[in-house]
Amino acid sequence: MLVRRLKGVVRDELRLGIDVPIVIHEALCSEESCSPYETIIAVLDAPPSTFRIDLPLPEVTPQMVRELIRRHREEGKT
Amino acid sequence: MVEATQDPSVDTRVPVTVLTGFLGAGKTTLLNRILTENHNLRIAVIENEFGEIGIDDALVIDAEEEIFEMNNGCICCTVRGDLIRILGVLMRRRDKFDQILIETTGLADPAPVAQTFFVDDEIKELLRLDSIVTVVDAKHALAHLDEVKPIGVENEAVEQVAFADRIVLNKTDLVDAESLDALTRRLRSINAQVQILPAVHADVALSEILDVGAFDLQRVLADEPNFLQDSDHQHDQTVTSVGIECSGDVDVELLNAWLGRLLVERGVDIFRSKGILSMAGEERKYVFQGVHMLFDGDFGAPWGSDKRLNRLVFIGRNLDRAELNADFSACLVSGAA
Repeated sequence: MLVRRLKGVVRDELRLGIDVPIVIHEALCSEESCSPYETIIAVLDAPPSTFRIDLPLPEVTPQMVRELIRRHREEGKT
Repeated sequence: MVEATQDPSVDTRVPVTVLTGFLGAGKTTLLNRILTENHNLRIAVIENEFGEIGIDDALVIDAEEEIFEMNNGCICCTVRGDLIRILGVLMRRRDKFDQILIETTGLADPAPVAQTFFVDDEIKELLRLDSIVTVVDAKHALAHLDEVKPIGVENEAVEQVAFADRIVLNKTDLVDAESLDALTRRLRSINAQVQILPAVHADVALSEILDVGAFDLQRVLADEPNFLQDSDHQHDQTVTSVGIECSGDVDVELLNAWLGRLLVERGVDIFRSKGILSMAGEERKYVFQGVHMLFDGDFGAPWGSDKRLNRLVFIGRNLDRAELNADFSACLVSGAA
C-alpha cells in the first residue's frame, strides 16, 4: 500500500518512533484558484508538521517525499 | 498500525461506534450496559471524559482532545490526533477486541472524530466507522437544544443530534407523553432521518446501536423510513435536514461539478450528506456519503428490479431546500426531475 510506504519514508527521514501518528490525505478542490489535487502529509508530533505535494496521492513517490522532507530540513522548516 | 488480513470476501475492519451526548444524558449508563451485558463481544473503549469505569477486562484508555486541521486552501478537514495515536496503540493489540467504542465528552464536536476515519487510506483499511450514537436526556434536552449561544459559538447539543445515526432518547420515564412528543419533533426537525430509540436507564437493544453499518456505503439509506419527512419549523432553528427524492439519470460530470462546488462553498455548514444515485449509463447504484467537506462514494449493488430513484439527504445549517432541489435537478441528464 502506497500510504504505508510513504509513511515509512517519513518515519525514516524524521527518525520518528512508531507512536507518532502520520496521516496522509488526498484533498480535492474544484476551485479554479486551487490546485485540483493536493497530497497532505501530517506528522502529528509535538509540534505537528505538514508536508504538501500538489499531486494526486497515487502519483506521489517515496523519492518525492524524501526530497521534500530534506528540503524542509535544509530550509530549517523541520 | 498492523496489516489487515487480505481476504477481499471478508470485511476484517474493526467497527467503531462513536458515543456522544450532552453532559448527564446517560452515556456512561449506556457504556456500562454495553460493557457488562452478555453479548459475547470484546469491546475496547476509548474515553476522554474523566471518570472511572470499573469493568473487569474492559480496555479503557483516556485521551485528551487534540484537534489537527488538514486544510488545503478551500477544503477544511479536521482530525483528532489523540484518537489516531490511541487507535494505533489499540491496533497493535488487535487480537484483544472485536469492536471499538469511543466515548466523547459532552462538549465534543463529532466532526473531527468522524473525519478521522475518512482521511487516511491506512486507517480506512483497518477500521470502519460504524455509527454515531447520541444519547439525549428526555427531561433536559430541549433546554440544551434551544440554548442561545454567542455568535460564532456552536450549540454542541444540536451538532450531536445533527450528526447522529441513532439517538438513544433516554430517561423517558421522567417526562409526560406530550413533552416526549415535542422533543421527538424537535429532534426530527434537526435530523429527520435519525432512528430514535426511546429508553429508560439507556435500556436499548444493543443490536440497534452496535455494528449497524450506518456509514456502510452499501447500506446507506437502505433503512431510512423517515427519509422525506418534513422538518418541523415551529422553532427558529438553523440546523435542519433536507431530503431529495426524484427519478432521472444523473450526469456524472454535472454532479461532480455541483458537489465539488457545494462542499467547498457550504461544506462547513453541511454536517452530513449521503445518497443513492442513478447514474446515466450505469447499471449499479452510486452511493455516497460525506462529513462536512470530506466525501466518499462508490458504485454498489445493481439496480436490478428496483426502481431507479435518486435519494439524497443533507443535514446542516441554513440549508436551502429549494436551491438544493433545483441544483440537483440540474445534474440530471434530462435537466429536470
